[in-house]
Amino acid sequence: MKFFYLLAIAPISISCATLFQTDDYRVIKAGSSATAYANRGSSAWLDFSYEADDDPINDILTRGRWQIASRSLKGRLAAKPGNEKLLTLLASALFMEKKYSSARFYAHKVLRLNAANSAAQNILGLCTLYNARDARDFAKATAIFKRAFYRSSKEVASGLNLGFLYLRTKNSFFAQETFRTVIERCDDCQAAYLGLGIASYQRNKFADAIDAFEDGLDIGASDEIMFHLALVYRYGLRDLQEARAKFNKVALKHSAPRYLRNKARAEITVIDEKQMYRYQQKYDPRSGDKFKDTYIMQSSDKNFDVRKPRQ
Amino acid sequence: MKFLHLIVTACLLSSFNWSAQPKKITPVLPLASDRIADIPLLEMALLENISPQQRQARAKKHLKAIRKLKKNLRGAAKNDAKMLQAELFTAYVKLQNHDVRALHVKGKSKRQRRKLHQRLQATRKNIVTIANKLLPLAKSKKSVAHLLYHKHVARYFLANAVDTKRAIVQELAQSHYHLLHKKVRRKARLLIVLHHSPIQLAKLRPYQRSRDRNVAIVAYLGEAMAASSHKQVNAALYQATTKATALPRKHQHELLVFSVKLWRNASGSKQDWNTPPLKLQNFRKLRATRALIERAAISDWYQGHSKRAMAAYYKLAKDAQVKEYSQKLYQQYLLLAKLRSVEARNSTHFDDALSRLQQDYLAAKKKGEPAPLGGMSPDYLKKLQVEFVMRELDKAQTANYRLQRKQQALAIAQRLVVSHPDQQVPVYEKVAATYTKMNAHNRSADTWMVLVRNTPQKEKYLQRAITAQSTYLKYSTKPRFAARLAIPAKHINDYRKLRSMYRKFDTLQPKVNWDSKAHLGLLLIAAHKSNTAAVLWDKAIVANSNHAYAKQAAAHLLDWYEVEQRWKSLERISRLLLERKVDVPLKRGDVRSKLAIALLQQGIVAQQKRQNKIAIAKFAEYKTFKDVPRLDFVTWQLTRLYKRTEQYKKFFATLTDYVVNYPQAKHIRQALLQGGHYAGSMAEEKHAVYFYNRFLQAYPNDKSEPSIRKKLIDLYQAQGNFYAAISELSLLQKSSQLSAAHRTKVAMQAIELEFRHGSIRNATTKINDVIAAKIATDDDLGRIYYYKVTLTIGKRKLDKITSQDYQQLLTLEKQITRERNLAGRKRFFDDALALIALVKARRIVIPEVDEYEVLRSQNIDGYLQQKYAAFNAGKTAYQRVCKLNRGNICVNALYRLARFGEQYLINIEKITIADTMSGHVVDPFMRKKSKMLTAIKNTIRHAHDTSMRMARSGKATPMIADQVTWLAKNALDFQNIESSNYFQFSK
Repeated sequence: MKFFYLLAIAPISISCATLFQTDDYRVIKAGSSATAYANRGSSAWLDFSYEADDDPINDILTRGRWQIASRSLKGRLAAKPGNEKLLTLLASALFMEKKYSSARFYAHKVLRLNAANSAAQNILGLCTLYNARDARDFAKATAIFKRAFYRSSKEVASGLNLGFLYLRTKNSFFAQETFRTVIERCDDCQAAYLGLGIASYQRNKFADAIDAFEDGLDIGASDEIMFHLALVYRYGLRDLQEARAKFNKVALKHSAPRYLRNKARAEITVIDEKQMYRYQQKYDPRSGDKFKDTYIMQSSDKNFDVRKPRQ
Repeated sequence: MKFLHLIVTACLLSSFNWSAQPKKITPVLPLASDRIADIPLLEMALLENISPQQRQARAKKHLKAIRKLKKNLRGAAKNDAKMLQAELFTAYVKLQNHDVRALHVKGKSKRQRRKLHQRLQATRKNIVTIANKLLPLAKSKKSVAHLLYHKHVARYFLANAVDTKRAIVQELAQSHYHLLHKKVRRKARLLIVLHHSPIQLAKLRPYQRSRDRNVAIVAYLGEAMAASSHKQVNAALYQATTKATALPRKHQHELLVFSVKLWRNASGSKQDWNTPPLKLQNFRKLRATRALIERAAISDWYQGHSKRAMAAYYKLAKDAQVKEYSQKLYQQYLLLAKLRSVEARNSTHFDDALSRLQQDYLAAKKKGEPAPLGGMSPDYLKKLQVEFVMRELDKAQTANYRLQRKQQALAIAQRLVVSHPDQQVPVYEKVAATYTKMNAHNRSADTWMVLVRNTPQKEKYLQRAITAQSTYLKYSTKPRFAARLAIPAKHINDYRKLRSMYRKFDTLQPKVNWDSKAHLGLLLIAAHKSNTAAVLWDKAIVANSNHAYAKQAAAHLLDWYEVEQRWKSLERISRLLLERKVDVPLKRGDVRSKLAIALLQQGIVAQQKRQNKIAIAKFAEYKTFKDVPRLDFVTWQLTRLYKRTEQYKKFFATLTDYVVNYPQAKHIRQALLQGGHYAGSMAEEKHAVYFYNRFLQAYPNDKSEPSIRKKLIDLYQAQGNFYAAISELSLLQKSSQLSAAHRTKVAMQAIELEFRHGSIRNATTKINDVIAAKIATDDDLGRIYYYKVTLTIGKRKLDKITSQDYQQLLTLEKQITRERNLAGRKRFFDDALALIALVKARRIVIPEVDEYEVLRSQNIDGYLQQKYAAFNAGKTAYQRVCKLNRGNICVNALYRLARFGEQYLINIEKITIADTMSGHVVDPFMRKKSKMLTAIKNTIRHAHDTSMRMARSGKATPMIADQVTWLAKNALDFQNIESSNYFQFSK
């Protein structure tokens, strides 16, 4: 379902074209490309380098037509065999096609041509991270991303990948540092603000998290950031009112992903019931048990308390 | 005038009959004159001697006097009239004398002479009339004699008949002439002597000695007339003519004619025109003299002096004053020349004569003389000459004509043409025909060529010339392409001529004439001018290639171009022939093959010159010919060229073609390697696999076999074809070029692939093979054992391993331990052992705590201790894993330890005793239990934290790491965040 949903929003995503841009790079949001990592539960950032802005391959890639892109690139490669940029693009497209073995093969080929090609290294790292048929290895992926990210002062994609890998392995400190570096390089990267916010939250630095999310929102509207901001208010600062207002923004936005809207609605329901419970407690204590049970059912953890954040 | 001229010419022509031989040559110039009835100079001789003043007096004076007298006479008295009549008589006599003299003086025109003569006659009549009137009135005999003398003399000269004259002379003789004046009497006596029959020679002697020349001549003539023998006549005539030195022309003529008359009468048949008894030097330029000369010439002719006769005739004709005679003389001259030609068997005489006359005509014309050659038309002469020459040439064409005459005929023809270029065509046609009859074909050809040069009908004559020259050279008129013509050294120039004839003929053709072109080309080739021949045929083929000769020429040309390596031309022509679908009779191959050769060679040349575009075009076209040789070579060169020009698509297609269609080609190894390399670079994995596979099949023992096989393995892996990758690895492992260490590495790779993607049985087999080979390093062996353990466990969960497998693991553990003790590097052995240890730990069963059993238990403290001991045993088992491994297995073990601890935490929580029991029992139990719970909690926390830390550092596999980190609930659930649609586009 998620797949179809993403396809549906694709035109809207494309219409927003350049999302953020500096002198050194530009980051574009490409909606339909989500098919590649929709089931992955994580983000993948790829670095596409082109000769010219008006190259038709831009359009193909932006629309997420990976098969077409790879076929087109193969055609180009037939005319320019061993072209580094084309091979890098091909590796990226193949990665997006989930052809990880091929993507890794071509990334290796590119790196044989130019060991400093950070885009290829990024792809190699992603392949190491995602290829289920090979031995997936966080450590190896981290090392590759690091190598890619710190070798070039303009590299962003591998930094984002690295940051989210840190988040995934709960290395929130490193994640925070990485995202900060990314933001230094790309102050328009919303994803970096999102990551920074999440990392700060994981480290219980709610104010930092809120700052990061709000910085992200300053760049442009983002349902994800808004949702996560709401989560910080809800679970970090316990400001239910503020949290509800934020959740509400997501829940009422038709263009927001459905799962986010559902989650936001669920959170709103819980907050409303919680407030109702407090109200009942204040004005009608006899009916408290009923609300209490509901509250416990929905919000408390039955598991061991080691999972709770330490205050 | 022109018309008249033509008529005259026609008449003359008709008179000049060639076939009829004249029996006798008659003289042209007349000699006898009817008018000369009297003795020449007699009139002069009879003139009265008058004074020089009177001689010089003019006729006007006399006429004036006569008029005056006549006027006076009309109205005069009788006596006066008598006197006036006498004066008139004298005046008439004077006028007569004057006129006679005037008539014999040079410089008078015919008209003047006629007038004078008329006046003289009238005067004489008047003298007779007046004399008749005066005679009766005369007083003296002397006067009568005087009157009679003048009357008779006048009558004498008025009379025409000889008899009348004689009668008049008799009358004179009977008169009293002796009364006349001495001088006059002498004259009268001379007249009478001359008319005396017979003439008395003795009486003439005094006159012969007379100082008066006229009288002397008359006297000698009289002697000649009277002489009895011809010798005497001759002598008298000689004397008479000797004295005629300064006579007027008329008198000379008369004298001569009269003399000749006398001479001929006297000599009869003995006369010889060559020796006349006349002093002819005194009669130069006289008609009669010329007549004499003519006759002498005729005489010469008959005596065999033809040359002299002709010369005389020529001179006569040339000097002739009268047009008519002149023409006739010329004709006579030509007649003689002709006769001489015929008789002397030399054609040139007549021709010489004609030429001479023509030259004279031209010279005279140049000088501006009127009517040269006596008005004879040069056309007539020309016609004669032409006729003569034609006739001679016709004769020369007959077989029995003498060679000399034939040659002369040809010579005169040549001269005719020189003098009359307008006659060149008919004459040369005959000449050429004559030469042909004489088998002098080369000369015939030359003659035709002259006509070619000078006439507009070039084509016709060229054909004849070519035929003649060909006949001379025995050259076939049908072109022979089969063999090259061999030209003998002596005929080089003749063949050159023939070639030029064909060339000229060819240039005259409005369209391409292959008859001439073929010959011309062949002759050029024979003369080692193949280049020129090629150019010629080339152009001709372009214009017309359907002729039979064109086809043969094309065949020749194609072969020649090939031999000469003129590839462009070869290509052009063969392409043209193919386009026109011309069937060329080539000795070897066909036109397509020629085109192919041209393309191939041009391609090679262009490639050498680095003209890649051209080379590609040529080779590419060559490749379209499927049935030509060296296609493999061309294909290979094309690949090189495409590569050089960076046309990689074409390069790759051609390379594939080369590899597929020419498996036995020379460069197949290089091609396969290049194909693999470039296919890889073009992301054509399947192609790359194909090329490398082909390479490995063809060159299994090549030095680059291992590297190629490695590339192939990479490709298979990239394609996800792990089965193929594994089989290649197996083959690579067998490669003799790899060292033992390398082979082990390969084996390890194969095992790993088998382990991940292949079959377990194969992996096991491979592992056993490596172990049996005993060549693996410590690390590799350790890894292998690790794989073996993993394979034994399989994909089952660790706590669900069968007892059989578990027994195997235990056996394996012993084996690994043994090997570990022997090995220097123990890391991977430890990993394997750690895994086994984890399995062992996972096999520890956690029993449920039953509350009834707790209640039933007599020794609850012991029960608690038992459970805690079980926990400790499990904890030890898990911790042993981490002693052996600090990586993924350890994280897993710690995670499991935490879960294990949680279970025991619940179990031990359940072990309680009743609060109602004594404090001595309850308190120590509770303290012990609390202590145990704290210890378990600490163990759990420690295990959890450690595992978390290790997972964060990436020591765990993602699966384990996810399991571990999922528990960290303090984090935001970012995993479902779909903010992942970001791509960085570097500028």
